Amino acid sequence: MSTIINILEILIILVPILMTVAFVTIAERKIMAAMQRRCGPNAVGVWGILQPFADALKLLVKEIIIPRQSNSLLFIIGPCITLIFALLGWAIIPFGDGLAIFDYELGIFFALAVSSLGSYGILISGWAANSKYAFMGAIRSTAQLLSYELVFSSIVLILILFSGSFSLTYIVECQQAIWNIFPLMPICLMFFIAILAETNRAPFDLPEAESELVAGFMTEHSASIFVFFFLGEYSSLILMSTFMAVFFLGGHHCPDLHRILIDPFIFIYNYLEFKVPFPFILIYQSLIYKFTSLSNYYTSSNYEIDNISSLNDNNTNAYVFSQYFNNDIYYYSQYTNKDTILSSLNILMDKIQGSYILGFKIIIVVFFFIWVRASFPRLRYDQLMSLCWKELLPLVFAYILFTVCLFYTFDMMPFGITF
Amino acid sequence: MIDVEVVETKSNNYFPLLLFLLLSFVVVFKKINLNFFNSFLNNKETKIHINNKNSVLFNLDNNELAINVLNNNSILNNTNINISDKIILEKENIPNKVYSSFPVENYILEKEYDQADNINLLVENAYRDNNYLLITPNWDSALNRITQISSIGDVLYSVYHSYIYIVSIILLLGLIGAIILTADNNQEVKIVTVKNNKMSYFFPLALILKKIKIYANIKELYYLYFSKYNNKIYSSAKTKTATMFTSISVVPFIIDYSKIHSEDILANLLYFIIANIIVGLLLLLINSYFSLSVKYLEKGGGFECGFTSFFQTRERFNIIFYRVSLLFLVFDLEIILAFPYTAIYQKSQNISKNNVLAFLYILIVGFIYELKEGALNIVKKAHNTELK
Repeated sequence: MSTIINILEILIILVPILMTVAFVTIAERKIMAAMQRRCGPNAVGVWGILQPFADALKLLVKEIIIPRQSNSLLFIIGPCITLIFALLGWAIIPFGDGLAIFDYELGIFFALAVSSLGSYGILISGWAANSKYAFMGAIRSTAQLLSYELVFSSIVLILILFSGSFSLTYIVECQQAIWNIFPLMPICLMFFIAILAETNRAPFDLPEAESELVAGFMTEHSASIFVFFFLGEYSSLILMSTFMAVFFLGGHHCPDLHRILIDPFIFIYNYLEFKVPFPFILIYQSLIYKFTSLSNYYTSSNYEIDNISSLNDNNTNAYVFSQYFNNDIYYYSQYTNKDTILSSLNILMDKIQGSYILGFKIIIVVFFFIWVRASFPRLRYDQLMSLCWKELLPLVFAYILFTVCLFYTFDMMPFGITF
Repeated sequence: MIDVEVVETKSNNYFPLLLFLLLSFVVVFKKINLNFFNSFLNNKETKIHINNKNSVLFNLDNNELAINVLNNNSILNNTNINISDKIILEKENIPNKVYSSFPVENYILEKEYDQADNINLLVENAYRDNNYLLITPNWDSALNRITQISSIGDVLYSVYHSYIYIVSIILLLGLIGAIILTADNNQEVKIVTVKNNKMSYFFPLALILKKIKIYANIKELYYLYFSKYNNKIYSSAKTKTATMFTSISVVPFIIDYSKIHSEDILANLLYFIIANIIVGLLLLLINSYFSLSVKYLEKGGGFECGFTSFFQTRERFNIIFYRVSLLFLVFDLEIILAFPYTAIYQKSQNISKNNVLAFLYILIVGFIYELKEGALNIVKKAHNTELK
């Protein structure tokens, strides 16, 4: 029975991902068309919505051409590796509070490992094709992925410093009060650049620069092997934008209406009283929220609500705290003292809502990907490398030192225990 | 293929780095002094209660930590890490496992909890008499996998800090060696410098100096802002020097890992991997079943525009790619060695922070060398071209 449930869980995640890939391609073509003042695909289905399925069908009927000079086994295995590792990263993504296939405490290490193993697929397939263009594309791509992997992992290090844990669930829970994008705005921008380069997207699509190398490492690939690359590339795009949503945009948490209503008054009060410039207030107010809300982390599902309601009588601290910060459990327990079923249903509904919210955020980030592609011209390769090694890496390293020092000087230690 | 590439070098590429370094020194300065004197003034006496189950509970006078050492039954006991923990315990009184941490001024930890299901009750008790910090031995089995990182961090940055220095110097040598070994001396490169004289660097400096003033303001703001809540939460309000968390964070977070960590979840991952492979195979099978294949000689050749290619295969490539991968190794090791510190920095003493900073500073020397050397300037066939 448990195995059937496991398989169902996996299908619930895997099938929508593959569908999303299809719809992201059509979305990209449509949005690009709108930005260039032409109508995109509009023949197949309503508004051309079935176009990606037609493309997939076409590609699946085509012939698999394996060049004579190539190493045929590696030629097929390479794309498979790319696809598998692009899909494997989805295992640790929390779609709700603890709703993940593999809710792992060292989830970040898992993510880093999977994303860096993906570059093997490109290298292998580019080498095995034994063609000039494929080989150069593969080498370019590998160097690019390696160097932006550094930026990615050091930004992740900053995030761990901020939240105090290696698990993605915890990092999301830390953003209950304020999303990481507000205190870590520059880092967020750098992260976006890094994931653009990690997914080989424009303006960093040097490996497949059409004018120099025909199609980069996938020059010789055709039919379903090409589909592997295609699927892998787009699913890693969506995965990376999910990381963006989880790390910086608060994951499955919705902005708190209660706080949005109160905050402006506090800002104005601070401004009038202390003459602190407005943008600085925004940043430091957000820092304060961050560190006060950290202790609120609480996994609802593992705890019986009866106990908490009894706690509330004796402990006014939690009550006061919950009133302001609107902690879910305390919030529910006030109204449903005995009806545990009802409150647990509420929590479940919250979890399901969370996944919708996460999806909405992912869509926004994906739109940004497409927007960037439509707006910016391609970089030169040395510009790409110097951007990584000379501009981004020094800044991120300096930021690591800076955050550590900042925490020590102001005694702002996040309390994480899950490592 | 590109024939000519002009390398633009700005004269101050590593300026932001230096700026932040300077800033970090300024920010730390005050704190270092305080800690230096505090270490002489407060000689904290730690009382250690040892149960039958070998769970050690610290009773610190001033800190906000309660500590539990793992069971004898746990897997960690068989590894070296636990031994190193004991070394630390003897030498520096560093807490080695933190299971729950929330600041309560006076705590007592003397109750023994044997049963596995009592976590909820424990929390309740802890709330009733605001003095209990609860630690259960059940957490050990769940946290085995995780705690290794923090214990590595404990060892690496406190007792064995000399080794970290040695490692950093080795990495530095590796970085410089990689650059020197892969240097292409035959290349005649003329680097054209394009200077930006638009912006002076004093402007951002002035901005940052302003910022530092604002930091000070913000801290006062913080106390003002939360003072009303503080009064309600803590009737026994402490002195002004109390940290933020002693006054505010009260609600503990409890994660019952015994429930989360079932074998089903691991099985889930396995199924997921298998499902991914099946997706790939399915696509291949469908394709090979439905597609036609007509083969002739030209079709199997390598890609070229309209003619059969003369020499396609296994060409030499620029050494810069090799150098990039070597530098990546060094930097990745550096980041990985910094990861254990993130696991312990909340509870760590001043020593470990200084060690980490020293480690990073030594490597930043290498980084600056690399930038100054122009190690990653990609130049292919540089002709004598100049920009005016």
